[in-house]
Amino acid sequence: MADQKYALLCDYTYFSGNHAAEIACKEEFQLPIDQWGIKEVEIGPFKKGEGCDGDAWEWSYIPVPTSIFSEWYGTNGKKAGQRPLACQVEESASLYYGTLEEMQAKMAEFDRPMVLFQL
Amino acid sequence: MAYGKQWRTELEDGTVVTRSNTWSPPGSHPVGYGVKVVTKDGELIRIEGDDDNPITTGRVNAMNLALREYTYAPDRVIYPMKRAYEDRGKDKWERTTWDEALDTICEKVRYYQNTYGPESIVCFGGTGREACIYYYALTFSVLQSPNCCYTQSGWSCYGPRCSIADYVLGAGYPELDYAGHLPGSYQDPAYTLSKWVVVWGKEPLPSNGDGFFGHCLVDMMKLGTKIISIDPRITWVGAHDGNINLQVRPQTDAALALGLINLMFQNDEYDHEFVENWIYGVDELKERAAEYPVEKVAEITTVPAEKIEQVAHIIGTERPIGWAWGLAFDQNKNGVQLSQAMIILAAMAGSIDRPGGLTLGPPSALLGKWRMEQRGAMTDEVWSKRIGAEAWPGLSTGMSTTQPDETLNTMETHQPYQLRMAWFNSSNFLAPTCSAQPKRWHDALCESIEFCVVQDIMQTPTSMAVGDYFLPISTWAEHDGIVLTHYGRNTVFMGPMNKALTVGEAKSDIEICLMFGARLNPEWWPWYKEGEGGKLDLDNLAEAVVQFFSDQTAELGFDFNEFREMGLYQPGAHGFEYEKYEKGLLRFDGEPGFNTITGQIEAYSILYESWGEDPLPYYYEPDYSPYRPNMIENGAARQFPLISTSGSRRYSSFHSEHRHVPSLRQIDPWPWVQMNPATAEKYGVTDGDWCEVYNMFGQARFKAEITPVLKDGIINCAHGWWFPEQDGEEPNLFGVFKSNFNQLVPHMDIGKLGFGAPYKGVMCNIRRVRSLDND
Repeated sequence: MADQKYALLCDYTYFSGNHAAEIACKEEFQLPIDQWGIKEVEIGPFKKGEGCDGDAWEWSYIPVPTSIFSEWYGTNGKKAGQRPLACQVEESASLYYGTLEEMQAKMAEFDRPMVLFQL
Repeated sequence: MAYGKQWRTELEDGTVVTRSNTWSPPGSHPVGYGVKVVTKDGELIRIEGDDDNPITTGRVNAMNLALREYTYAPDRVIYPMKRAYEDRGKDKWERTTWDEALDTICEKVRYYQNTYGPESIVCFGGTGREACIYYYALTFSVLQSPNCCYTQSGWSCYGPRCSIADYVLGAGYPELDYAGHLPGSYQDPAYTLSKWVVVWGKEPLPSNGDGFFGHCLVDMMKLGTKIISIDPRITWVGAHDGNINLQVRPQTDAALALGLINLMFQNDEYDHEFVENWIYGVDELKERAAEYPVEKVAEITTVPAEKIEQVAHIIGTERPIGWAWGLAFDQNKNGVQLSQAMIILAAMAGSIDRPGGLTLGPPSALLGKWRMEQRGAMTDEVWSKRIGAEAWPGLSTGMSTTQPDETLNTMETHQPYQLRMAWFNSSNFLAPTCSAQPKRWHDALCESIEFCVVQDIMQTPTSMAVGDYFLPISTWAEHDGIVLTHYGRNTVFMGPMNKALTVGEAKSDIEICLMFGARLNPEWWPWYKEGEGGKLDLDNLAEAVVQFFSDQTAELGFDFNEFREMGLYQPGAHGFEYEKYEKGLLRFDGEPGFNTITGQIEAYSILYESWGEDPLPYYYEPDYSPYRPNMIENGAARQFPLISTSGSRRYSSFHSEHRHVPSLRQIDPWPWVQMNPATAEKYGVTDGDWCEVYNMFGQARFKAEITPVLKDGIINCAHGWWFPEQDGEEPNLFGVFKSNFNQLVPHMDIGKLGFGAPYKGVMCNIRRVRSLDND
């Protein structure tokens, strides 16, 4: 039987870039200051299109799991299958973790753009 | 990760998990994140979330997650310290004991009380934190002085909104109904989701203002709520598809509010039944609002007329409309009118005390009530000496503090008397957190204050400048306590804080009050019994804390130990009702209506009129605005053509706190100024350049962040900056005057009631410089 794969799913329309997941990983994995388990990337803010009405903006954050995160929560990781602290505490409640199959099914429940990281 | 609901669990490997709710320190508003504190052998391992908390549901913010770093930071002071008066400004602190500190400080207090009167003592309190409950008691019933001071010019934080709610609405602080008081949360049958929420001058996700858990807005947006964002910036919340952004020029919000009221009357789109029954002065209001036609308002605010019309139509016709009003209402000379107008708008939208609208609390409850009762510890004669109370009745009726600007005047002039002893309860106000013109405050403190006690977590510019005694305080994880939203002025929920660890000899605010109160005023502080010979008795102190909180919760039918087991108190599970004004639940006489003079919401304020203020809302062009005619005539508008706002929050810090916490400092390493690309181009600034922002009052340095979220000509400067890594001694004081935005804010440019200063909008200019220190 193939090794179980795990994934991190982000509802990035609502992921607010609150840095809780970053600090949670540093605490949970006891990382030194210059290492991250998750690092947020900012997209925007920029106004969409020409001559728009001022209410159309692009501004999102994506929490990118590093290889350190995969080592803990990916296939055969020390904590594979448990709930990452980052997913519990993230303030916009927009970060999900589970098996790849679970996260694919979860993603399909939403009718908006989502980002799925296979760990 | 779920440990069950018991408040303390010991695991087989010796790990102890303590359920708690956060407040402060670290600096924070009373949000009460539900958490699990994980300790082993008495050491903090990490903070986790509490899934069972119905509001925060396991979520925890970055600052609380970094509590381990904060707790064991090398800069933290964990033992009482003292320093000789002549060594002020020098890092010559020496460790002392609580017993010695207690004896010496109490002796000094009695000396100043007996020699110069208790009014010669002033207590300065910090914002948002637990100290907000206890510094009143420390002043009034421990030190027995009438002079309790929050030093922000015009008291420009929360106090004005509360006072205006008290005067005009006749209720406690009105807060957006996010179902926080209901056990069933958004699914509770009593709740209706807001269709729209007007988020006005507030960015609640990073700020959690006054205990409102800001990410509830995200929860609501996921369920379908749309946002109308009124802010000089595009915010992350406002930027979402389907939301509306009104990008107002800073400090012109009152014109916008009047324009909206006018359109709602003009179009006959408002809650007629509510307005007819519950608003006093409707005809006068209509007439006043008519002075603000939409074209004029569009010109003043720089918001297009059609967008103002769109918003007036939405709030006039769609239901329910929620409201989240923020700090921008307080940091404005015209804020009293703005707050009055916002309450009227909410009333016209049918939002008052209705599901999905605004919840109302009683004027004060539980600890909030106890806090206010402490003033009874003084005679009327002593109370009458409160600084600025007589001259500013519009402030001193709502607030039991001094008028902040008058307090600086008193320190500078010794009129009507000299302030000689100071006690800082968690305030680092030389940092740009609250006081305007901080160098004047610094000089006045150094000159006027003969003896000074500082209660804080680490040495700050303020403690280094003037402290003689330093009393170390404990984090929320290191003490028992209660967190209640809005400091009791609208207790959406309330949670117990359970002590999980001990660090050094740090004590909580209430423990310090109990210790000093037992010695200085045992009649008012009966809970703690000193040990033999007046020695500190830690067991008695721990018991006294539990007994104190049990006495507070007694009226709700449980004691503190039972509260620990309950884990949370939500009024919705204990008889909370909407539409209290219909049911006689808001007025002290039990009659229906609001607790104002007229029993209605006063669009025409009887109290404002009695204090010489216009009873109706109006717009006032800021004094230090490049749009003001006299500033155009005298050339200042050309010299300082930009407008800077300030005070917006980020996830990495609470005002002046957290700069010494490595993982948080890493997120925002330097003070920043945001500006539009067009503004940057005009001034030859590229992203990351150091810039000096300056005006007729002062200057401060920031690194440029170029962003389209601001309009050309409007900039946004970071607040709260100092550099804990720099030399702490005078004159550098950790670099506190280098990036200090409050040096650009005038002293005493405040409204007629004594409230509101222009922290969020002063004229200025900008120039590129080489670095923080070099031109």
